[in-house]
Amino acid sequence: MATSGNGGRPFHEDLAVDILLRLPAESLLRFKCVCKNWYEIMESHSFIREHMNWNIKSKSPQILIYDHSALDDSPSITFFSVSDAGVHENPPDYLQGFRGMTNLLGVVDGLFLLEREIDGSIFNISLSLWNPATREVRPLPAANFELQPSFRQMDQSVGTAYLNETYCWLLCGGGCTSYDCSVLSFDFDNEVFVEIGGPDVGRAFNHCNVRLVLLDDFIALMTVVEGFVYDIWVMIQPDITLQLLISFLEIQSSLA
Amino acid sequence: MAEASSSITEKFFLTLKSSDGDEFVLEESIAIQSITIKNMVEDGCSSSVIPLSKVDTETLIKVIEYMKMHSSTSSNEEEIENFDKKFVSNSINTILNILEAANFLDINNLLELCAEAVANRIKNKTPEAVRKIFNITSDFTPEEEAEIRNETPWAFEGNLDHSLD
Repeated sequence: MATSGNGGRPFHEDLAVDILLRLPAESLLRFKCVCKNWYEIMESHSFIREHMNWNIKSKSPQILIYDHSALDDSPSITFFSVSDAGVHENPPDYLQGFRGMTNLLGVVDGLFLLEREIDGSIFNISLSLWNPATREVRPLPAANFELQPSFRQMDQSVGTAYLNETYCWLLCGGGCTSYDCSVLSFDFDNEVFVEIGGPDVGRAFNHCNVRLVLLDDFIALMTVVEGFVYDIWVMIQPDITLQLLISFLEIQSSLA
Repeated sequence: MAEASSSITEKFFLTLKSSDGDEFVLEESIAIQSITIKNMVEDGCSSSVIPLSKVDTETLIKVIEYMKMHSSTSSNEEEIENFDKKFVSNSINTILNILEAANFLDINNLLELCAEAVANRIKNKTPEAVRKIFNITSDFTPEEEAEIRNETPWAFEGNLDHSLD
């Protein structure tokens, strides 16, 4: 090419933003050193937010596999990205740094909350935020506050989901005799907790037969009916009730 | 009735003039995909030649090709898709020029097509190649640049693309 760069003129900054928004995080991290102007664009909160929203709309799916029963000396988290080029296991080298991370507590907007036991003690834990896109793990400062009587232990939570500024926990097994499930939601806008009961179908629910799932823009419960038959219950109106959307049979895929 | 009225509708034509002085006659219904031109037509400033001082002849030819394909009622979706695919295989410099023209002429879907194409083409490139493509001179000191690179060394690993197209 005889001439480079657009006939010698520097490129329009607004248009550069239009292009940068469409790049994966890895490319952005590499192009931060192109010039100070680009660096400032990429560090700005408005750009980061817009880039996130852009990616939610158009990103190729990524799959995170979290192994509850992984041995202590192996990372319990594996990350896959699915693209036109196939399925890639993300180089998990840096995940070695997650040793001792005993729990993955939840995810909001692509940021994961990890829990680490210090000296193997469940009474001494630290929390970190993990951003898989930038591979950063940031320890959170210890939060020291008194437990109030109204506080509720969330140990019974068997699943979480985040949608439209609302965080949801799936709770199971309220007592020894009743095995109800319910969805507890916290709305970040008005800071209100709401709990709604799971479907009453005359069956007991436990962590093996019910899952909290996101279905397009709805919170839903997937429950095992029997064998390979599942029900999906969708929260049509937030915080009010669950409606049976579909009952379906799992098709076992053949590997022949 | 509708057919009768459309058959007597007169076709209006506009003359677009590139920065190189070349003139192109284009049907008004096609040209007003550009919001900039549409506004000029509505303000009544289109009776004579419309000068496009920011768009050179080579770029204007491409933009007109695009507008013709995307306005014509005869071209079907598959045709448009194939056209777009071929369109973005132009050199990256040409696409950047079209992107600037699309911005000036306010043709949103052309701008999106070009921005997406450029992002796809540069995502695996080195910062050095990107600087040359965008005609940017680094204003970081070598120490500052090394510091930024060291924050995420993994982003600089693998088979990076050094080419300028």
